[in-house]
Amino acid sequence: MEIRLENVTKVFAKNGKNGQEVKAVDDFNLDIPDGQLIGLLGPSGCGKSTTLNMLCGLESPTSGKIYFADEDVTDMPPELRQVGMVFQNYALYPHLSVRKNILFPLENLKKDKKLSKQEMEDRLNKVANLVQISDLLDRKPKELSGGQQQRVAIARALVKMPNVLLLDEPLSNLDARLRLNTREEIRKIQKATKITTIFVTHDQEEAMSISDQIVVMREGRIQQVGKPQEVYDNPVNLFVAKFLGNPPINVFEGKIEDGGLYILNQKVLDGYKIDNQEVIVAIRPEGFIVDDNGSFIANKQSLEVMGREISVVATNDACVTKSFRALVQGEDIAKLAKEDIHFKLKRNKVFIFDKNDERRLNDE
Amino acid sequence: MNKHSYKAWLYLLPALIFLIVFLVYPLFDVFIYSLEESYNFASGTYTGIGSYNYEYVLHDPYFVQAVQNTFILVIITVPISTILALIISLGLSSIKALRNLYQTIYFLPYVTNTLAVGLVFMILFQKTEYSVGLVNMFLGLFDISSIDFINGPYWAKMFVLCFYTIWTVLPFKILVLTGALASVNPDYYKAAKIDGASKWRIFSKITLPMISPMLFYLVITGFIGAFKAYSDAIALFGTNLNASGMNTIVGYVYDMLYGTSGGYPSYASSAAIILFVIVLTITCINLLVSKKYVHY
Amino acid sequence: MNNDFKKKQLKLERKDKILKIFTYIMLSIWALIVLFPFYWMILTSVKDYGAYNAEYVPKFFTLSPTLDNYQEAFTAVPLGNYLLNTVIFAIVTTALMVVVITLAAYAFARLQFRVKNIVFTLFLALMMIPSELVVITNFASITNWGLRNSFLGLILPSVTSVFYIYLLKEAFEQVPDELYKAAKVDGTSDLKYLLKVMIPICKPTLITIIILKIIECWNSYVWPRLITDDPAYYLVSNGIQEIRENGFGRENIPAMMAAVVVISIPLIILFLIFRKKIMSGLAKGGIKG
Repeated sequence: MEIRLENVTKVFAKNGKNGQEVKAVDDFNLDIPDGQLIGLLGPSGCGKSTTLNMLCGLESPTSGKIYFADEDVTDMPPELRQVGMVFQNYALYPHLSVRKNILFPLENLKKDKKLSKQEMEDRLNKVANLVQISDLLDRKPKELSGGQQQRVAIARALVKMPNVLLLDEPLSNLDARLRLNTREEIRKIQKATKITTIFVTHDQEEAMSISDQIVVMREGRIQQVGKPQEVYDNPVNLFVAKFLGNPPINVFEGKIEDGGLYILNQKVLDGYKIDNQEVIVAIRPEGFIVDDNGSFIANKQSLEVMGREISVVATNDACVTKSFRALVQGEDIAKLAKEDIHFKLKRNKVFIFDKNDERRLNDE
Repeated sequence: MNKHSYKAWLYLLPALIFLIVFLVYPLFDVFIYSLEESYNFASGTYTGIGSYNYEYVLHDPYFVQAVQNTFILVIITVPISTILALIISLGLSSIKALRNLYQTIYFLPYVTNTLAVGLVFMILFQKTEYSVGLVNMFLGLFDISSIDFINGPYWAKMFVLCFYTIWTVLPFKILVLTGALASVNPDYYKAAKIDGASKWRIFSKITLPMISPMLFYLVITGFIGAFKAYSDAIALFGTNLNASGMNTIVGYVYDMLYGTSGGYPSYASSAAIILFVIVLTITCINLLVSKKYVHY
Repeated sequence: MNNDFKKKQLKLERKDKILKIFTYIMLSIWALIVLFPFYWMILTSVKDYGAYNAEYVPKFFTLSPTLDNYQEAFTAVPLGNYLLNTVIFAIVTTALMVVVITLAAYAFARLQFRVKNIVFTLFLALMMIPSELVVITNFASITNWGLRNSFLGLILPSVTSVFYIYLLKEAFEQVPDELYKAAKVDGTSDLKYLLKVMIPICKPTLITIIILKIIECWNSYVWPRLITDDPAYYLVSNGIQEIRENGFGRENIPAMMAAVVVISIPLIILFLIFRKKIMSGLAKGGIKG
């Protein structure tokens, strides 16, 4: 199902006598095409969970409209929306077996929607097969591992064949190894069911790895929407650039003079159509090439050899952090013996931002 | 024994002495008392060993009356107070405004002197030649003829006793249940709401099972507490409970020990042990039932 | 469809509202039932004796409140004496108990000694012994020692409480081990560590226990009734019973209510001050009596 959010704003009255208001979500506009997997991404407190709650109907927006297909669901209570939700801690009922947990939503259906025993059983088996928990149906939640609980929670959300599947930090309670497996699993299930799915996360890697599109949020506002790779390659502002990528992007002070980009008075790149001004330069770790003719000079601190690649930790006076990190090819190790290392920069890995409002200036 | 462990025992010593003298030794002693026939308090002599004391107590009409009263009290007050506490707690946890105020008010009976407030209840329910009493005044509004609840018919007296007992035990139950309700993870309710569960279904399928351990705890302690009822009855009907026909098992024990009947520690011991056996049996049954129904 | 669900929504909202109103009404009714006896005792205590006896049908208010009944309560019966006895009893019992249970809880929580776990399990088992069973022998013991009608006889059996030892031990165990090790390295003695570190850190629990014990002492009735028949040693509970049966002459109910108010007020004030502590302490699993 296609989902549309129009100018959605949610204002919370802050507790206390001052009555200060907090805009948790501010003028949120988004079109989500049918059958896509969307990652809502942002640091904690950015409004992503509030957005999720408004989508499932646990909270209603202060203003704005939410549409499922063409239907206005803004004020519709959650039970009428046909959404499935997976909670961060799974919210599996501890006193019910896996089977009863999954059947719970179906048993709530009333009147004409009521299912026969056989239909319920069929749906249960189908969804249990899909998430591969058929052999766990008679266990209690506490007898399951974290990953299995996660699957049960997904099964419970899917069993009522929702129009939309919502996942709140689906991987945060799993250990690192399980996380990789489970995120593949979620991707696979989503592809198989073709249900429009929205999930919330603060982990950029998680969002990038499985989403069709990511929505980067900050302080209640959408910063950027797009395919993960597009957003990564083309951040619209410094926040998005910094938020995506691991190891994180390196930030330097620099300036533009006659189309040339200068860092510490060395021209590192040329040919920009930007007015002369001081700027913020952000360079992806993979944007550095070791080259004795390079004009970006850094003082080597240490090398971390990781096999295929080498991570160079170095300092540069223009760097806004203590040190920065460059990822270079393993075969370049011979060139890294000196203290001062010269780099050339890959043009498409260098982003230039306005010093005041941190907006992107170079548009290639 | 090294120096350290010697010191630890020293720290424990006062508590140990008190517990042995006033708790452990009496526990064994009471069984001995209950078997010593015609024990005389003053001389410390007895005529024989046997079950005579138990037989006497079981055939004593006052004891039979006390057992009857106690059982009626238990059967009426335990379920009513638990259900009432549950309803009130559910109400309390569903509101925000005034919640603290209500909670404070509801807790008041816990900190008041049972004997003192019992006197107020006596006045409210009593009917004398000088005053018809407040409760009877209300009954009068509905054209119900006035009854003396304190010195009147048995059922009326039992009603007041149950009412006052519920009034005094409810604070603790409300406190425990509101705590239990508050500790249910709100995500369960959110999940159920998204799944379209009705209010009744959320209550019966989620809330109730989740708080069932606390509910059973209250039922078990409620049974134990109600079987030991005594001060409530004293507060309402005065110290001579046998005369008013409102004695309880514990009251019988104390009356045997000292009071109008004069000291019969052997009878008192037998009655106390019979009470203990009753309470133990009921508690075991309760535990078995709760094993079956409490889910975790 | 759209219209349909809006109607449904409205209906739901109305249902919610009705439920809410009903909830408040129900809660208020119970609040009234709880508060009414308090109102009634205060009201009656300020009614004039003559006026009260003239009311065959009780009145809900009085236009001429008087404090005469309070004077009567303190002069006609030794109410002041009862109060003083109770205060002495509550303070001495609580103080002794705090010392005894603190030492015991500390031994269980911090000190290492063999068979500790067995001893502690036995301690817990003692919690299940009903007081009705042991009161008989205790009565005999105290009588044999000639301690009837004495404060010692009143106080001794309630100086320990297994439950409070358990509660305090749990609190003590929350204090990190490192503090103990650090104190040992600095050469602090066990007793000094208990006094200077453990007790200050666990003060909230200790205060809760103290308040609960004071409430228990203030309201205790059964043991004092057994052990005292000399009114000079009566506590308030026995005092009120005595007043009821032989006091002001059976019918001076306003004076009786004045005594009831005087007896009830100290605890209510204590409760209102320490409301949070009392309620959270009890919610931790306290069992009344």
